[in-house]
Amino acid sequence: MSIVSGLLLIALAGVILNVLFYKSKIVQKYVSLLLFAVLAYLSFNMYKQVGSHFSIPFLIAGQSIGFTITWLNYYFALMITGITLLTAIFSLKYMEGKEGIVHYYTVLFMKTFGMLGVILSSDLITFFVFWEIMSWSTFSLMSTGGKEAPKSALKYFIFAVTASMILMVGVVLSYSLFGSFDFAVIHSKIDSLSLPMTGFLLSIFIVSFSIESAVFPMHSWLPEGYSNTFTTFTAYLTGISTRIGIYGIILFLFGIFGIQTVDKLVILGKINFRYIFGVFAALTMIIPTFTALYQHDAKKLIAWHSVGQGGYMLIGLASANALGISGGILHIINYLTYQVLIVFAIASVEYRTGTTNLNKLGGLIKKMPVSYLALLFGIIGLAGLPPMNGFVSKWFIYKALIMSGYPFLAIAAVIGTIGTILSVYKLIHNMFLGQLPERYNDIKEVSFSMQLPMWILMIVVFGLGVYPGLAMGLIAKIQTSLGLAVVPYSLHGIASGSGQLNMLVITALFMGGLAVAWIIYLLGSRRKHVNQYNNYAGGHFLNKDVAYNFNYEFYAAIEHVIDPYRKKIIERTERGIIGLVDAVSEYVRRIYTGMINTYAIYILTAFVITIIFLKELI
Amino acid sequence: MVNPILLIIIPLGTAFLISTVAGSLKNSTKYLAFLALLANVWISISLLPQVLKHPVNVIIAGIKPPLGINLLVGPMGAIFSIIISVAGILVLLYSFKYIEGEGQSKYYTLFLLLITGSQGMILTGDIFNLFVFFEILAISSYILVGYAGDRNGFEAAVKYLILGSVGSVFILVAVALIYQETGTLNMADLAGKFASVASGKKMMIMLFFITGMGVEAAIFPLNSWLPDAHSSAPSSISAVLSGFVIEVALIVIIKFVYSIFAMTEILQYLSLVGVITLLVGEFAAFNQGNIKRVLAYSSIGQIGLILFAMTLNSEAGLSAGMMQVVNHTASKSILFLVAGYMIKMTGSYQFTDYKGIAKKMPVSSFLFVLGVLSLIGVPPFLGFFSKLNIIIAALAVGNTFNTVMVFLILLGTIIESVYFLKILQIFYIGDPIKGGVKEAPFTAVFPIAIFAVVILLGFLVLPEINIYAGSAAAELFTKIQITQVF
Amino acid sequence: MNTVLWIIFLPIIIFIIGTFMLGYSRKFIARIERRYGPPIQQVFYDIFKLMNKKTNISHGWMHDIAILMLLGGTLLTLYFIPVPGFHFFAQYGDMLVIMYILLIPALGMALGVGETANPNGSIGISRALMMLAGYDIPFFLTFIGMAMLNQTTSMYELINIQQAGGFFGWGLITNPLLGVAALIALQGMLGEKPFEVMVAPHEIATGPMTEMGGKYLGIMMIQHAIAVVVELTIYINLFLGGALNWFEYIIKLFVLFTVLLSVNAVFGRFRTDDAVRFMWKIPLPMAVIGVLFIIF
Repeated sequence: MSIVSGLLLIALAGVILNVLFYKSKIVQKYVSLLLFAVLAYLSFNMYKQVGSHFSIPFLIAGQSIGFTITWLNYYFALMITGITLLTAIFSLKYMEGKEGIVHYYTVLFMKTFGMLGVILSSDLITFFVFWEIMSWSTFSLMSTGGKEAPKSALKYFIFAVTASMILMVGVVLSYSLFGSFDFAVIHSKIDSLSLPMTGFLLSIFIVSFSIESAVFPMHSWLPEGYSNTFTTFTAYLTGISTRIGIYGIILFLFGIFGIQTVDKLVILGKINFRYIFGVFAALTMIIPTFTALYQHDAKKLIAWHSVGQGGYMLIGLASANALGISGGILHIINYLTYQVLIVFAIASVEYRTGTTNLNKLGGLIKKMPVSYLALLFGIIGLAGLPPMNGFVSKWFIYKALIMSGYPFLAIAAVIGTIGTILSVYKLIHNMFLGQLPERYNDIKEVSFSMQLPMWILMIVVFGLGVYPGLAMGLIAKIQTSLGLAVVPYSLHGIASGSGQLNMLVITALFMGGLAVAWIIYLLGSRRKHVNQYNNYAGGHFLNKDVAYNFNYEFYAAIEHVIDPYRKKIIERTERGIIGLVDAVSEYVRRIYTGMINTYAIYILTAFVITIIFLKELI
Repeated sequence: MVNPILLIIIPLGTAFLISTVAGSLKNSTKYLAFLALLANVWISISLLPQVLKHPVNVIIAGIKPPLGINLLVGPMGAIFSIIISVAGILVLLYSFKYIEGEGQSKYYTLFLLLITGSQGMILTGDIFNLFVFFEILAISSYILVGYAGDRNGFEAAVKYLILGSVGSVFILVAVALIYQETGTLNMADLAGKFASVASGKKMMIMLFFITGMGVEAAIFPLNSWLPDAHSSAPSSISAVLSGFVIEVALIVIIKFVYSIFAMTEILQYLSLVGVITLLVGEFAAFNQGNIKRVLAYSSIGQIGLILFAMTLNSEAGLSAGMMQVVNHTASKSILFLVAGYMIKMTGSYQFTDYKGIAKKMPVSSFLFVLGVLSLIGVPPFLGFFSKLNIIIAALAVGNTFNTVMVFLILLGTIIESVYFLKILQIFYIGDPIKGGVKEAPFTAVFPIAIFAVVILLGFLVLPEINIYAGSAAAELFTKIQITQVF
Repeated sequence: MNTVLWIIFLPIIIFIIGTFMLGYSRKFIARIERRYGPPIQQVFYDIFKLMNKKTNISHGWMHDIAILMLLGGTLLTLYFIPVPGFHFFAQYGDMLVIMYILLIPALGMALGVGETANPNGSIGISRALMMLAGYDIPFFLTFIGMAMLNQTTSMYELINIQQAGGFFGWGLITNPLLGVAALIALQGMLGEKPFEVMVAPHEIATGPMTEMGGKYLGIMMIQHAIAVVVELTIYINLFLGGALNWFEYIIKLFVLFTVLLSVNAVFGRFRTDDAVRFMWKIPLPMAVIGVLFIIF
């Protein structure tokens, strides 16, 4: 029995158990947790069967459903099951007593089932079927969990269904061109295709995956959709769900089409496909990141980063050299860990205070130090500062872009990073720093079951930062299996030459610096902790009735600078399209006037038009 | 060997029987109707293996064609007859509790006549006979649309009556022209003789026939009666009208175009019309608030899709179209039947009034979801495979026209999913509505569930479905069976 | 052995140079303003006094750790920057690493100041971060240009390449547009006028330093002294050909610092948005044009 079938069957069993025993709390919590743990265990063991193929003898258009294990999908399966397990642990307490808990767990399994199916599939039709299961289950759960949720889920769905329809065209077109849905067959025949057709087919797939991975300008569904649902589900979605689109891009760009084929696609003599793709990736980094600055809701802010961070992965892939691709792939797991960590921290705060509004929180560091630490680790990773993991992958990407001669894409990455630093500081400041509102005086730290996933992720975020080689080993295998060059990595970073990176040295030096600073600190006399009202206020006396805090419109000045350039073209286009559909629908509806005499005229008109047409034929 | 004539005789005879014994049996006549349809189901299913081997030609009253009347049953006819009988019996079961009040036997009489007409149109081998069955079907459906007796129903029925009559006049003209030109009304005979007709006359005949039948088949812009009729009729009747009546008319057109007129030149025109019909239907449904109107417009969209698939001039397209017919019959019946009880329970046609109804009517709502998913074409439902096959068939031709059409169809699908999902969200989200809303009775839920099983588990018998649909397609496409008879 | 000695004494040497430079800056400004000014070793006295304060007010554990991150992060940066005779760590991290570890002390301070719960501090940090967005983008672009031109991101190799060309190999000479853009950005990086929005004593009570006192302020001053030298050295290494020996190095440091101080002395303070706008309107296009020159 292949591990693949085990994975899929267990995920499906989770769905069925949760539906059947919808009244049992034990099933929802502990059996689900157990199944998720088994899933994680199985997918960890998948490396033993890399290269194996497994198929269900069930024909669709003469094609059996097939699955295969490669290093690439091993990497993704690890991330999916790992993060599902952590989410499940976190949800034990978070979802307790909430309405819709059965639905929550059912969809969690369904979604895992869908995602595992997508990444493990070895042919287009299997890919598509699971892709649909994935997006429908997302829609289903995204519709719950908040007041605004149904509306934003519908918006998500419009994008998702557009993506799958485009994908469907791609799937069927490949079938009619190559006579097979199988990835390997398509890969072997891809060179025989004419260049314009290759370009068209590739664009279809890339556009479809770009919608799912929220590439600018098709990103607007993500922030709303992700921020209005349950926060734990936000973690799950933002961590891995969006990145399935990136999986598709990696698979098609490098696995199926192959980079040599892609590089043949050149327009206007000079601009190649990858560069266009890179420009969109660059816009994806910059625009959403700066939009995040404007947000007043923690979940929304972090959801915008979910868009922005995707740009780094894509731009790494677009650079198409060994360093850039490994940076892009490495960034997926790095992003996953710190992003989920951040969302867990936000969820903890929400769990205790009931709000994620950045203007209403503050000073929680005194009450929830672990959550604060989790958020701190997360934002250092997100901002891409050493010694956390986000820095390593971003360093790969910057360096790849500079060295392969894309200075403006590189600066776009830098701009994105700076925007990120600004907005994450706002996040941590407005939630945990500054003045603690009196109403939060009795708040406690979250319980152990919620702390545990955060501790695990903190260790991973830091560990992968110091020892990027842990992940690089797998990534090198992925690159080899895709026929790409490999980066000379070491356990601590990049091994070769003067451009090497050694994270261990950096971290150790930083620790040494801290130690020296600590000695100097100890030289002075003892410090005394004072409360927040013992503060400089220009001579004014402070107490709890005096609002003495700065968090509203944190970056007003830079907003003044950016505002004239924020034309909200996307929003306006979207509104325009909605208006157009509405108007068309209204006019079409008016065709059916309800008056019999107009209907008679229709029949006559149809008759006449058909006569004219048939006359043409004769 | 079972005689396909029974498929027509039994419902027809039972209809007369019911109307004669209605006085003494009162409301128990429904069981008679049920028995009749049960026999129909059995006959039609046992007919299928036979016709797969060789088409069945039944000569009526001993006079041989071309002078006499015959029935000509190929795989396509058998499949349709199964669709009609199965959908018919399930909807009949649903009607047991749904149709209330006095004079129910009238309803059942008309219902059986409707079945008779549909079966006859599919099975007959004679063009004038076709016209007669068409009239039976049409007249019984006019009355059924107005059965509720309210103002809306009556108005819709009158509109339907007028437009339907225009349609039948067109058909009659076509029949007359055919007879004038070829001197025969037998389909098989005609298939051989039609080629010799002058091309201008050919066009004229086809024009009248397609326009006339197009009214019943709900092809845009001849379908203007449909939104009113389907939304004002009792839900059980809407289910039948959407479920197989319009498809029957459509398949007659397709059958004539492919195997009798053999005029493949106009197929592209028809497929364009199909896509326009689809877009019109989906866009019109987009902003509707009345749940039955939404479903009615969606039927227009689906019929457009079927028309497109069947006019691709390929066997694959026809076969995919047949699959889509099955899918549409099952899923649209689910939607109409569920909507029927929702309307009954809440007293409102506006789906915005159904907030959180899933908590009160969980089974019905769940079945509705299944219907929607299959209609939109979500894997692993039957609708996905039929839509996939349609697109495969369309792109296999490989011209730009078809590629553009595919994109338009998918645009239609996007629109369709959006308006259906708005409804689903209303069903499932929000506090349950007040009042005495409760789950539909077993006699309603059971038939709906059977439909749901068809679309949900259809993928398990996909190869078989492919075989049957494929042989039906082959029958139409290659014309072998129609000429085999002689 | 040599390396160990350097590791121990480098911070001390740089600290001494830095304090004298800060003393020099106070004297220099005072003379321009026709004051006598404090003695040049005044900064030493200040630090000594602050470190000996009996009461040290703190607002919580992050406040304490922040001050360690501030100094520790700056020391970390220091080791990665090649100075004459010492470039041991330069092989483990290139210019990209330096650009990002420069932000660690900033982040540390931002967190600590945040915890002091003083709006003046928070405003200061918000301004500092916005200013970062202003100067870092053009500065980074000039660096990217230099790296592309020389096909390396290692600062040590950049120095060697420039040294090989003599005076005419200096980045400022070969790429004047980039050099000038970086110089303007450097002014912002050091927080000198007209980009002194973060401290702005007259508006927000010295911003981040509002709630800092005693040894906290002392450590901040130590860090400031080192950071000034670090940032100037980055510019020297990128555009002024680095330095072969300590004499040349110190001369270059003082000359560069004097140039920046002269600008500082004659300007008022920009509003924050104007400062950012200025950075994006003048140095950034310059850097873009400079990079375009390199590409074509």
